[in-house]
Amino acid sequence: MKKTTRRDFIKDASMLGLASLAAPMFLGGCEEVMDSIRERPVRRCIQDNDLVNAQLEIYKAAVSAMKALPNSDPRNWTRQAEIHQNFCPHGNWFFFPWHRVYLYYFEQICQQLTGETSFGLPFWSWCIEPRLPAQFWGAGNPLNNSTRVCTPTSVASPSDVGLGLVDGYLNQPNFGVFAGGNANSLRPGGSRQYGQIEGTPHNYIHGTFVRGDMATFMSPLDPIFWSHHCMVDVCWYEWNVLRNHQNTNDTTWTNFNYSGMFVDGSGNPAQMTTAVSVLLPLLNYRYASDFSCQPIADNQAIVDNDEAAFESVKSVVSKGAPIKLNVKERLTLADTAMTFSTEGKTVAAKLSPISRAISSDSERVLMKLNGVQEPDDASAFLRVFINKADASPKTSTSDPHYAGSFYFFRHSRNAAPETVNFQVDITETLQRLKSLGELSGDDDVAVSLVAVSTDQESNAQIELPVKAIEVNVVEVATEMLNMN
Amino acid sequence: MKDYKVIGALALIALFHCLSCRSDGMRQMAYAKAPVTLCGDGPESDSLTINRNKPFIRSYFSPILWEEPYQIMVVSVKSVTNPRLEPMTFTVSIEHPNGTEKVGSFSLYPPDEPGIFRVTFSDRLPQLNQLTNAYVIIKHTGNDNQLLSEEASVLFDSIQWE
Repeated sequence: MKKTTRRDFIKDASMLGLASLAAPMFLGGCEEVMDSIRERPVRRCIQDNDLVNAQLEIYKAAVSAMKALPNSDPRNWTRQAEIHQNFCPHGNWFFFPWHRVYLYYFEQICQQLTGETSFGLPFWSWCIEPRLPAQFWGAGNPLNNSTRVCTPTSVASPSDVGLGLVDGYLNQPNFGVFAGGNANSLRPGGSRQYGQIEGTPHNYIHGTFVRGDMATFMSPLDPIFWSHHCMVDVCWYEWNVLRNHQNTNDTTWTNFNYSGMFVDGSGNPAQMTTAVSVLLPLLNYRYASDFSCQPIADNQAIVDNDEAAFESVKSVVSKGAPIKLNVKERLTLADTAMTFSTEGKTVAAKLSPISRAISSDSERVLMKLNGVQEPDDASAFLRVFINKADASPKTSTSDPHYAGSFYFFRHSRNAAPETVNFQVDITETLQRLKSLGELSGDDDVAVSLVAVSTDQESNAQIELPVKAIEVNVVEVATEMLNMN
Repeated sequence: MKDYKVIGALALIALFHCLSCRSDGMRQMAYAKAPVTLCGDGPESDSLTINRNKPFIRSYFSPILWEEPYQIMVVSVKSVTNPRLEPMTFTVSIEHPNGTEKVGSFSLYPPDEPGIFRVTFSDRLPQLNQLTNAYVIIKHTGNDNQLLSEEASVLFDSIQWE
C-alpha cells in the first residue's frame, strides 16, 4: 500500500476543501503552498510585549473598520455578532469546530480590512492573566465595551479558570467529555451536554466574570469575545495536537458543513466542514504559545521534511476515534404492552448476534424497557433475570442469572404516574452464563422480569405495565470501556 | 467477588433513603449501571432548588454500592429563572466521613440556560467506591459568593454517574 506522504497530505487537504479557502496557495504549486504554510498568521498569547501589542493595534483598526461598515455589509461589526446570535452551537460537539471556523473567517475580515495579511488574533489566557487584559480598557479604545460588569481590577476565580483546572481538562482523553454531547444539528433542542472547557472556564468568563454583552448570545459585540474564544480554540488545539487526543470519527461530526452563515474577508459567502476545521491550526494559522502562554515551536512535521513526525500528526488530526455507542443490532423482544407482576413473566427470542457480542471487547448488550408506567406502590421495583423462567421475588440477586434492577423515584404521590425508560447492561450476566455452560450461541435468550417490593412484609400484588422491550448490541470505544 | 447479600442490603438501605426524599424532579431515565442520585435532604418541594434563601443542595449517595468506580458526575440543570442574568456559577463538593472536598465547578451561559454538565474527580478525593455514605453538595457561588436576588432560582433535575 502506498504510504501517504506529507505532500499527499497537503493534496488531500486541498481535496477536503482547503483549496477553496486557500486557493491562491494551492494554485502556485507545492513549494509556494509550503511557503504559505510556513508564513501563516501567528496567534499569540496576550501579554505586555511589542509583538502582541502590534497585533492588538491591528485588531483595534479592524474593529473600527468593521463598525464603520454599513449594516448592509455582512462584515459589519453587529452583523458579525448576529451570526453568533443566530447560529452558535452550545452544549454539543459542534461547539469547538463552529467557533473555530467563525474565528477563522473573522480573522480574514480583519486582515482584509486592515491590509495586514499576517494578522493573527491574539488570545486571552485566563489561566495566566485572570484579569481582563489592560489593552481592552479605556475610553475611546475600540477594544473597550461599556456593558461589562467586571472592572480592570476584577480577578477571575482560579477554581473556574485556573491553570491546574484547565490542565486537568486537557488531559481528559474522551472526546465526548471534553467536547460535549453528540448532536445532528447546531441547535437540536433538548438538554445541552456541555464539554468541560465549555461548561466551566468558557461559560464562567461569559456569564459570571465579564457579563454585560458577554452574558448574552450577542457576546461578539464585546471585542474580548474573540480573544476569549481564541483561547478556547487553543485549548482544543492543545488537546488534539499537542496532547494527542483524538476527535470523534463520527461522520455526523466530521462531514458537517458550516454553510450559509459565514463570509470571508471580502464579504463573500464561505463554508467549511468540520473535517477541514481540524486542519486549520496546522495549515492556515499557528499558535505561538500553548494555553499557559508557554512558547511552542511551529509544527515542524508540516513545514519540514520529517515524514515520521508528519505521520504522527496526521494520524491524530485526521483519523479520529469512535466515541459514541453505535447500535449495531436492534432486536425487539416485545413490541406490545404487557404487565409484569410479582409472579414474574418471561419473554424469549433467538438473539444470535448476542453470542458474538459477549465474546467481543468492543461490544455490549443492553436491554431497554420502554414506557414503563410508574407504580402507585413506591416500594415497587423490577428485577431482571436471564434464562431464569422460575424467577420470583424470592430469587436471590446473587443468583448467576440476575442482571440488574430498575427502581422508581416518584416525587409525589399526588402526581399522576408517568412512563419512564430503563436500560440495563446484561453483557456480564450473559458472559457468566456462558462460562457456566448455561448459554451457547444457538440458544434462545429469555429475559424474565419480576416485580418486587422493598417492603419485605408486603404480600400485595404489584403490576408494572411496560410498552416494549428491546435488546441492543452496541459498539463502544475502548476508551469508554476503560472509563466505565 | 462481591458479596451480593451485603450489597443487596445496602442497596435497600439506600433505596429507602431515596424513597423517603421524594423530591421534585426525580423522574427520568435510569441507567442501571450508572446509579442516579436524586435525593436532596431539604424540604420535599424545594430540595433540588437553589435560590437566595437556599444557595446549595445536598444529595445523598452511597458509592460502595457501585459496580464500577465511576469517575464522572453528570449534573443536570432542569430549569433556570434569571431575568437579570445574574452570575450562575456552582461549585461541586463531596462530603464524606473524613471531610469535604471540592471536586469541580460549572457555569451557565447565558446565565438563564439550563444544560447538562460533567464534573470529573480530583486525585485528592478518597476512593469514592470505598465510601458507604456521602453527599454531593452543589453550591451557588456566582461571582465572589454574591447572593442571588429573590427573582432567581435554579432547579436541578438529576445527578448521575458514568
